[in-house]
Amino acid sequence: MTLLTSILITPKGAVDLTEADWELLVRQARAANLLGRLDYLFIQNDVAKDINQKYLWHFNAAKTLSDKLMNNVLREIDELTSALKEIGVAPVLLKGAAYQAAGLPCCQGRLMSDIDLLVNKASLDKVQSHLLKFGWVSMPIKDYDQQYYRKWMHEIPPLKHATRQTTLDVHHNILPLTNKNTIDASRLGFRKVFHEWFGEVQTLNPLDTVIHSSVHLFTESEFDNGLRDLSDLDMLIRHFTSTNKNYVNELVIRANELELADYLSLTLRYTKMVLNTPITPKATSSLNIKHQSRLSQTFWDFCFMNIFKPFHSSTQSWQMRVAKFILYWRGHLLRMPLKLLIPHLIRKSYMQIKDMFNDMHENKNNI
Amino acid sequence: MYKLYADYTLLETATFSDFQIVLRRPFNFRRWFRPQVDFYFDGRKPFKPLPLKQAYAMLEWGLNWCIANHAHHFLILHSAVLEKNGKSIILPAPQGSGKSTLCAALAGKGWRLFSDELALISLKSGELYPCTKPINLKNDSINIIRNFLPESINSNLFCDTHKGTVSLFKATTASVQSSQKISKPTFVIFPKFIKNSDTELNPLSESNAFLMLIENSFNYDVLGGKGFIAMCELVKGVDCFEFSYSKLDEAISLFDELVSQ
Repeated sequence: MTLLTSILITPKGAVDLTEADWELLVRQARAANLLGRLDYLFIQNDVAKDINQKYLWHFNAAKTLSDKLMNNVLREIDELTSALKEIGVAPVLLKGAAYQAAGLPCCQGRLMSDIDLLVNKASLDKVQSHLLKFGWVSMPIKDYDQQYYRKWMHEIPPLKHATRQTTLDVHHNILPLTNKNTIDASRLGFRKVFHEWFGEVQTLNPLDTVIHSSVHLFTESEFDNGLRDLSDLDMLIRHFTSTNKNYVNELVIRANELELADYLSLTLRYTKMVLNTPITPKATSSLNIKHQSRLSQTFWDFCFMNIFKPFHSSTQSWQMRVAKFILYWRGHLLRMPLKLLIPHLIRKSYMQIKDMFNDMHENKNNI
Repeated sequence: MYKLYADYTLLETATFSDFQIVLRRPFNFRRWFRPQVDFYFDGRKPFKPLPLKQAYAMLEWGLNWCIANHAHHFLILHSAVLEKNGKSIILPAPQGSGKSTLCAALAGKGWRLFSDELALISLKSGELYPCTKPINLKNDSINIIRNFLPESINSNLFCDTHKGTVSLFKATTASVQSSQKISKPTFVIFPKFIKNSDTELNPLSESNAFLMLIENSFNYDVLGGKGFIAMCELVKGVDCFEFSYSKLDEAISLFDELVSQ
């Protein structure tokens, strides 16, 4: 277990850390984008007052930055929802923006700047052209990439606000259309949350929030924020369980219903193994998943246990590099079947090489 | 670098450090072919590589970047800060206003250097924290200060950087030795070098100073309400001036007079 994960599990342990431990903890937490989250946890667990200011300021400062980014996101939500209201679209907020609109604890100390929205697929064009009037423009993108997004992905290419530079991802589903588990987005369950800045907005309901975040994390091919995202899930589960003791059981039933149990099972397994999330084996036993051989279980544990670490020199190892490599391919294969993936990757590498030569040519001209 | 940091003590291993910085030549063909250097901050590379020859200048810029982008327990102004007779002066100014030149000249004539780039104002107490490092001078300023302070020690010239030619000047031993001593701000003075102008100091209203300080702040927007309060406290607690000058010795005697009253 890394120092960072042990403090995430028991923030009170921070009072016993030595100077050398703090040196390491700040490095690891910064690498994992979790400084601000620890600041929140230190206050929640009433240990901030016992921590020397020379260490604590790093955590405070990250929280200050995250508070500012949170305010920016709230402002963008306000702008976006009122803009879309004009054309009768009520978007569903996803991920960070949703955590924040709903005031969930896992938005505390989170560094985020992108906003994710879910809208009906039929209204995508209308939404995009209307948002353009409000300054949301498509980022320059190659024709091939454009086509790739439109044809296979569950979102349109990212939009960026021309003056405020915020990035916006407009989704019409939670999984790429090429993923074998992709679902009909209309089956997702929503709820309205109230925020004093902009009134009522839609987010996914507590069950589908965690299911979506699970799907999102466990279809990734890059895990730079893996530990942060796992910690989000841990905090979400703890939060929802605190008001509904039966929450995890309901989650399992819901995942079975949506046939997304594979993803939820990974969440439940690794939040428990890495962050000690309170999940009973009984709850997970009714997950509708294929039985895994012990060998394959060991193999995936090796990968995920090595990836849910801060990416820092103190944790670098050959195991982590192997895990990164395997999970990179796993993510790509989940996104699309091999017969689509191979031509896609060949095309992408060709485009990259071409760009490299173009860059070199330009540099030469500049010199 | 040893020349410029001769007065500092090295940290013992296992002492806590705020930022871990590594400058390293890349492990690709640019290690040998037109060699470059990478700047790592806690294992990340926030910048594009620079030519190897500019490594030391990159270290100083990178350090300033680390502080300006992370130390949000301070209100941070793009400003030189110096102190004499227990009175400290904040000299905020954008690039090219002659702020660093004035700062180097004052520091060479008995003023204690807090910083040539960053005013760190505690959000809790409103006090100034020193961040004493070598002074970064550009282009013509290098020779001006060399002539003005012949005894000063400076680094090699770094030519063709994005800021032009750059050299770093050693902070005085006295400044380095008292770099733990904090101070209350007394004056905020916006300097401007105007060729052949008279030395002139004009009072500035609190409200104008407030707006000008915001423009020279690195993290006012990040701090939100806390930044607003800190800025109000700062402006209320100091006297604000605009200052134009062309002759360094006149400027220094005026500053000396200001803090002797």
